[in-house]
Amino acid sequence: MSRPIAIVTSWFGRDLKGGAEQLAWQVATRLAARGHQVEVLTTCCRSFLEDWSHNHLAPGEEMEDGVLIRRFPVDQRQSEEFVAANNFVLSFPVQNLLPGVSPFTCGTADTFIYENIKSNKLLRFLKKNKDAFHAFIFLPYLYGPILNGLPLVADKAWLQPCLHDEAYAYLPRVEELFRMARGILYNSAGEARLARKLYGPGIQDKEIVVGVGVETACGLQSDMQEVGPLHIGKDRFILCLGRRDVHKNTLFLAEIFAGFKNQFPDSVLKLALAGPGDTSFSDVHPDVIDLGLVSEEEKEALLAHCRALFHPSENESYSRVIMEAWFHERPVAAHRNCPATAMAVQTAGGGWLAGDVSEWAELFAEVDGVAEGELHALGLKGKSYARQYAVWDTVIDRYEQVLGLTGQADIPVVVNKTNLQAVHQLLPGFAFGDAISNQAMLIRDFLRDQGYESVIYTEAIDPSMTHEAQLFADGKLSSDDAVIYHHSIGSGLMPFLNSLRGPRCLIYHNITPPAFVADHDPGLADQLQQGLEMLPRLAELFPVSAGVSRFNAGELQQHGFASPEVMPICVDPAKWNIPIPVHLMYELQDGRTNILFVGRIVSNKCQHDLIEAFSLYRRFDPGARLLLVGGHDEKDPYFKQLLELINSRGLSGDVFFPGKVDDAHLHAYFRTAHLYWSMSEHEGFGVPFVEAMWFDIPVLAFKSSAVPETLGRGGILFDSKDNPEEPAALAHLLVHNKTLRGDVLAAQAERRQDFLPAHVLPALDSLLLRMAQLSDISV
Amino acid sequence: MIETKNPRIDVAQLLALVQTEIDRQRSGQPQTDSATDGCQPAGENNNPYEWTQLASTLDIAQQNADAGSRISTYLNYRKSIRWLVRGVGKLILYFGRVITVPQRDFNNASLHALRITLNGIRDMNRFVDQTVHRMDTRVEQLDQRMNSRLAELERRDQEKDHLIGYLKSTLTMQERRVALFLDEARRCLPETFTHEQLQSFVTEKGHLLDSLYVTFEDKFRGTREEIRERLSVYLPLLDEAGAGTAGRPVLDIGSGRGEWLELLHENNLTARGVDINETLASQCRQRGLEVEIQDAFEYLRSLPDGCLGAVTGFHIIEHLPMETQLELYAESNRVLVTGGLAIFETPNPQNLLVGACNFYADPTHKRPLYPETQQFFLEYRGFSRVELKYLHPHEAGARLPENEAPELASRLNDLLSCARDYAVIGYKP
Repeated sequence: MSRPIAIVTSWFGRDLKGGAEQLAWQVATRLAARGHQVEVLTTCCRSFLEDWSHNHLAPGEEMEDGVLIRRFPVDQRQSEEFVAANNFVLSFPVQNLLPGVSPFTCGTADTFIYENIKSNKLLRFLKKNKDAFHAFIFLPYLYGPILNGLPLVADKAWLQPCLHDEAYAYLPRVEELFRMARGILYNSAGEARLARKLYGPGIQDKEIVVGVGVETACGLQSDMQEVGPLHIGKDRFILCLGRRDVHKNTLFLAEIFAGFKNQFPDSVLKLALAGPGDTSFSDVHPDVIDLGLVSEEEKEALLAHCRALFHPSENESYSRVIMEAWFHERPVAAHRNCPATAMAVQTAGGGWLAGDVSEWAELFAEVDGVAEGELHALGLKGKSYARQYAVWDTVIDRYEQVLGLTGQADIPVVVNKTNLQAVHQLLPGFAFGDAISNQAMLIRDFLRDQGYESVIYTEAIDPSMTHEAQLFADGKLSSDDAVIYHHSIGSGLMPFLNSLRGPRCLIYHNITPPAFVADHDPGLADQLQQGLEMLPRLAELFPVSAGVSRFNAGELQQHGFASPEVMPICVDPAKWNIPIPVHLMYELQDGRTNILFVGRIVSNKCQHDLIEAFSLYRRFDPGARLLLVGGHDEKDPYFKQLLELINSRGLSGDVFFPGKVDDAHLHAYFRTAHLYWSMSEHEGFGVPFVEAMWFDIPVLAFKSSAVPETLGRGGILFDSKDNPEEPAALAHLLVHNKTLRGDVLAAQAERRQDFLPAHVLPALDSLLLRMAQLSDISV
Repeated sequence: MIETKNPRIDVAQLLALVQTEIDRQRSGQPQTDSATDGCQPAGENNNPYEWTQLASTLDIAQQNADAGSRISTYLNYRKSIRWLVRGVGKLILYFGRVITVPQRDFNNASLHALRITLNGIRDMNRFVDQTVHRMDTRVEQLDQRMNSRLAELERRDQEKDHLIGYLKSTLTMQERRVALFLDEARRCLPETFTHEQLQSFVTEKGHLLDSLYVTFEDKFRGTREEIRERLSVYLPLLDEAGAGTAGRPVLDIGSGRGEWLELLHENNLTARGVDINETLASQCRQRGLEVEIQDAFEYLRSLPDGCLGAVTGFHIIEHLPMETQLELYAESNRVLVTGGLAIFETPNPQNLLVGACNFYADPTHKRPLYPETQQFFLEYRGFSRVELKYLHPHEAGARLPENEAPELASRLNDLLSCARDYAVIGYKP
């Protein structure tokens, strides 16, 4: 690799304090130490604590520890305006922050972005020299060079946000950075989860948890006997290490400890507090030992001899001390409400989680009472996690891998193994947002990536989609071409299908039984009937076939198809990496519970049953609203019937029909939903079920057709509509019972992986092989 | 039926949870659980108009209020063109004054007005908060006073109801007596009263306190349900002895309010009672129970030998002197069939509270009866297999705490919380 890696950060130096500053130094020097060319693009401002308009250091280039540091002068800025904007956003009540809704007013957001620390020369350098670099790492997320620099080189930019749940993270520009960056590097899995909560699942395919290395001197044997009044080795103590501050919950912990000591006066346990901070907490209880700031050697001795490390802070994106404790094989207690630390402790199994006063108090008692062997066993589990995510060598391995610095070329997933040159697709209709059309585009892209020529032909086309497909009537598709035909409804394609001579395959997307729509839409019922009647003849024509679910493959078999395969529909969350309409996000997060169902308004989807069940649900949750997203015809008798039902149940202000919406709006509905509830009696696959899983919405569904197959272990099913009170109560539990919700979401998080292209496309590969093998046989 | 393939979820438990949820909703209990992670808490109201936000918003506006008075952004330009930008900027500012001067006046005036309004609203808000707080406190005080007054009124109301009941039944009895008296008087006058007429007045005199005793029982004996519950322990004994059939009926001496007779009837056992209290007996008869209004001894004496399956008497023997007790046991033995049983329940003086105090709540009680003495009396009068059955221990509230002087407290507790009543039970051999 000849081009260098650039690390873009506002301040840079070996001795700078602060997590992000230290991280930048470590990553830069360690990558350089492995022989990579590393440049740091930074400003002449010395540190975060200095005046951001002042150039303390000389502009120009310098080498330090193998890293080329390019410093650019900072520009003058309206610092008073910036401070006012900053105060404005800091005064925003944290509990009122809503994902997708900016806490900044229009003007303050611009002031925050453009009157932040700024260096136009740095930005110009980025713009001009983009091609000279292999990749750019921007960190952390909230300063001028990152906010304004990343968009200039987005396709080569890796954002390492060091994200916190704070008002700045809700700035629209920050969300844009996450969306446009080529990749996102997280310090912990908790940080990744916070980002998905704030910006949705669209960014998940470009994220990677790299971890942060922690250097410890735990290998060194210290003969230190005393730290302040504490006799190490003799005293039985719990350690709380880090800034001693009310905001870090130090007082909270000390007071709980005092309560514990009053309850168990015979206990000899002590609580040792160590770290920077101005307030002393030693007057809370005689056994609270406030050591203040301690030396590195003292810190190591404390870590090595404590019974456990208690880390009560709720606002951390990463915690070094947890890893340090684990390297010393000591267990750790973290606050349940802090995603980053809680997730690490949970994943590692190296300690405990506690939230309220009683849980922490119980933990004091447990740590006091439990045998040393058990504490050590937990500490060992923590150590094995820390070795994976907190040892610089493995962390830098991950940087090399993700930035493509390992020297190995990307290996294509699958190569064209057939003798076919072109494989085209044919379908009756092609429309925006339609699941079959989306699948056809995915297949086309896959085929083209494999080196096939591939075009989508269709009998009817949505005018907005003419760039994606061609009309079949134009006659460009020949009977000798290799064709994948998508069947879902009756059409005028039968004569052509009869004439096919080349390799061919049918993908069956299911046909809704005509009886469902006969009363409301006789025209559609006729088309569906025709589609069903075509099946026996198609079975003769297509020796290779697949259903999008086992349920559909079963139907194919019933109609005489020989050994149909299963190729599920791909549901890739990357499509949600799009901006969301802010007004809708705001309206939908007004505190009411949102119950969602997505699907055309048609009787087989049973929206009428859902409205009935929802009216019962409202007894449990009177503020809830039902959102029935999907196309409808105002004149449709079924739609009118639904409106009458809503009126008769007194729900006219609580059930909404937003109609057929674009992806951005659908994104907002999914992001804000608390429950996805389906009463549908016929689903050939059910794409929205998988989408709901991606958005971490628990799914409650009536067991019918392909629904149980699509949900797999995810969601909860019920098989009877006789007692609608039961699903209503269940729905309420799924919205409000944290344990149940957590269990359902965990299973859904596993299940949704099965619909990623990497899992689905191998099935297409096997179909292509069969098509090629049968290419000589004429029917 | 609920289904899931999720191994973390136990469907049976989930169904139980669903049922609890339904029951809770039906009973109208409020939902106490909080909303979920990862989504906006349902029902929480956002208030964007926090004071600090308003203040910092006004600060931002203030910083921009003097728009058009200076241009400072030229600093962003390179030195070489900065003088040009500065010159052009000044020119724009100069010509722009037509608009910017009145605009600045407007901005500052508006901001001033906004600040005055904001301060006014803050003051008003504080005033409203204080007033509401004061009102809340007063409403709370009033509420407390009203509740205690209501409770007092309710208590008095109950007392009055009780008294009215007593007065009503006394009045009825008095009316009946006056009518009887007048009737007899009309028949006799101007002749003197016969011996029988005088006797009937004398007899009536013996019943003068009947309704008082009924009211007394209602107040002190316990509710009908409690008494029935307590008496049900004897049913298995009757069953074993084969008592309560038409050939071996049960006689309850001093049947009182008739809870026992009622219980026996419900269990399809043949039974009748005898009570000297007219008011109680007539109440029992209204309930369809068979009760003779007569002196129990006279009644017993009138019965032939071996005609009863069981003789029972609850809380009567403590009203009798010793000789009468012995006579009652002898007569009971005579009228019972072979294998028939006698049950007599009375307060247990071994319980310190009963022996020292509660026994004397009823002024018609003679004196507490020592259990083994009664056992001896029954045996002496010819009963076999005579046993004592201890009943109704005191509830835990009567116990002393045992943490300070555990041994003493424990021994005292045994005496305080042992059985409040006992029954002496014997069988005719």
